[in-house]
Amino acid sequence: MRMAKTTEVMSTRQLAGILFMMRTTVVISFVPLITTGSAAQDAWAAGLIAGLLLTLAAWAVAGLAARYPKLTVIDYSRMLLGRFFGTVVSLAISWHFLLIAATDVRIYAELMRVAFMPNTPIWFTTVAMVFLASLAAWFGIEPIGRAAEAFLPFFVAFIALTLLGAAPSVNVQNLQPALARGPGPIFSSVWTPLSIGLQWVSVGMLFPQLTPEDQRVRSAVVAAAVSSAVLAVVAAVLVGVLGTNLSSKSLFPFLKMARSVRPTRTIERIEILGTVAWGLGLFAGGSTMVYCGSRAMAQILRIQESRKVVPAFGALVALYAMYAYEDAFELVGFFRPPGFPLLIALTAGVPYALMWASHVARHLVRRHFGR
Amino acid sequence: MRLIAALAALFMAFSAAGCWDRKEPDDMVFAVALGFDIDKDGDYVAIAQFANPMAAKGGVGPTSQPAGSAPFWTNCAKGRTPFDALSNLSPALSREMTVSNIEVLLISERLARRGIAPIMDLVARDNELRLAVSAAVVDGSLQSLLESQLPEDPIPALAIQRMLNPIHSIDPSAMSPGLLQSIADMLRPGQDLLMPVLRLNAGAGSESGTGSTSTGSPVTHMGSAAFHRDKMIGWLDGHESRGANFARSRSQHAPISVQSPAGGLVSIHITHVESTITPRYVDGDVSILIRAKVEGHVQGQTGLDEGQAGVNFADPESLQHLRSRLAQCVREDIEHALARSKQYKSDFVGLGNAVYRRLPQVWRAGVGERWYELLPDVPVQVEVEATLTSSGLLRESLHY
Repeated sequence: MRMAKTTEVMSTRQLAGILFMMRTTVVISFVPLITTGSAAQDAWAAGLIAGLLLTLAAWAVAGLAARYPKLTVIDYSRMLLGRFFGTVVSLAISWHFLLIAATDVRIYAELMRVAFMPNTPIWFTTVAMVFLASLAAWFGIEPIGRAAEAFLPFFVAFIALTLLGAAPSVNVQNLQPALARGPGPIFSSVWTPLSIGLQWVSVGMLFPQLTPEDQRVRSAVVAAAVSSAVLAVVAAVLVGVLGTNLSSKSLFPFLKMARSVRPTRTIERIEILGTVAWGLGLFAGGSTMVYCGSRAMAQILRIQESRKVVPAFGALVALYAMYAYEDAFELVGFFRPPGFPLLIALTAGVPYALMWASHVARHLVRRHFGR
Repeated sequence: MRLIAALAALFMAFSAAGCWDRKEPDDMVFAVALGFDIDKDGDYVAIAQFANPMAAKGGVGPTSQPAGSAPFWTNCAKGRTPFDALSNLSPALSREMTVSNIEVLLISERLARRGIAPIMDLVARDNELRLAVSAAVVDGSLQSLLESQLPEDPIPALAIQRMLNPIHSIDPSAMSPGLLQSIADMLRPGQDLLMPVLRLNAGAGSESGTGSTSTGSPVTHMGSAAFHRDKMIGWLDGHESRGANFARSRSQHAPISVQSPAGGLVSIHITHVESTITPRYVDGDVSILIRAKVEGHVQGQTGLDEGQAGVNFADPESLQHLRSRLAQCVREDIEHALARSKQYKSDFVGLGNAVYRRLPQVWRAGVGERWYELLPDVPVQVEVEATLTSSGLLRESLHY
């Protein structure tokens, strides 16, 4: 078995920043809490439940990685599931990195086309963003981590300022009646945001490079909890401003909210803040996914230097982003439950459950039989 | 590596240039107001008002054709859909039109009665139009209004926008809710839309002849248009729309004159209104309680003839009298609005929405489906608590 060999390191704080930006970016892009289920005014509650479940999932991913701190998920999946099934799981995980990077880029490209640059072709925005992400991945995880750390304060400030700018337009009546329709509608909005937590599989690739070692699990779990809390707040403000009907029917509700308010007579337009934050988050998330995907593929293909795989993986991401979704309708439809949550449950949930089961079984065997 | 970095920088520079969507300000013409009407054949009519910043300082009169010396000009086109009509404005323009800077969206009465859903759909869908703009229904000729010069501002759209959004002034009429609020009201269960009205004064192209007190301005912002779903049902006068806004806590400033205990009238400037709408469901019947808390201060009084001392504000009885008169006036305004709401079967006060929010099980149990049948017979109790915060900068009245 080829174990991950790397001299690169990244701080747990940087990882938490990347995970936070990555999740916040995708989830504020089309706000699945509101657009993929029927939680409506209770979207904030769906956000909290999804956050709780994601925090558990993050613990499961990081906790398993902590049992094999020197290995990547590609290494220990083969160790735990055997060569064949391990390779299948490794390929599925590599596909996850491709899927996340490509879909994130495509959503951003659609935003650019729909809201700002209707004549600019999708391929141009896609290639530009993937090129940037691939370039960062080529330089390695350390520059990505440092860039994410530098972007994080701006990212948080821009999101916060957008919410502050929209806050005077919040109508609390839009959030009523609260929790009046039972758990069904709320849970219908939980599954897609939870499934987008697939991004946490990157922890399994980056774990050996994280420092300090005693904070690795905590950083992944804290990022899940904080980003989910932010999303619950975003959902509440968004419904408060736009109302349930308009927000659930918008393609990009967060952008729609930012464009629909006029905070003051001097500061009239604030959508640029959210859009820039989105771009920063996309860079952090996209480059991390290209890096993780390239490393995973390098390990599977037994290529010594993962950097050599980056251009090919970047090209795959660009092609996938351009051709996997014909238009914005298909992109939105992709995330709709039950299809997307089931896909993620099968390709990520089941493998992780099997790996955990195998780990526990091996642990018990070792304890009882001393081997 | 340096080569890659240099290529990346070059690539980014090209990306930033926006080759496909470049827009040169010199090649564009900016609409500042947009109006929609409908003609006899059912075609949509779009009327755009364009600013001419070069001539805005001049004060030369308007024209319907682009001209270097006019501060503004208008253009009009028809189409089978609102977007068609909007697009058909372009062939008459030498520059690319943009509507991203419009200040107001005006809708003719004829179109409002036909239904504004297609207009709202266009505005919510378009990537240039914004929901932050002010909206109003025009009582009179929309085209005449957009071609009229207003005295306060060389560009009428700006004057209309300020008229619809008074900052500190006392406005007895409906404040402009803005398009966002309008769409939210239209889509909210048990709630109908109330839009401000711009009336063309007599002699300025008015078709309805409703008249106006204003002589300097060709247009007056007074009253509201009541809708049911997306269709306008009828007009509300200034008192009724003020009452509706009192009940919805949307009006903060209003002048009210009440009978003075010492003779004459006392003018009170209402500075704050806070209302709650509480639904009740007893024995299968819905009833509503509207509680309004009103704050104001004395702004002036009449009846100060020789020997008349006016109101003694130090006298608790006089103050109590004023408070109860003020409360009565506010109550009457709210009751007028409710009567009109029941007459039109348009729930612009939002009684149904209060049932939907506060009694969701009752709403789902069938009341929601039958709400507009029930509305005329729903008993509504109005309680008003009035407070006078001060007598202005005088403790006592000036008397001679």
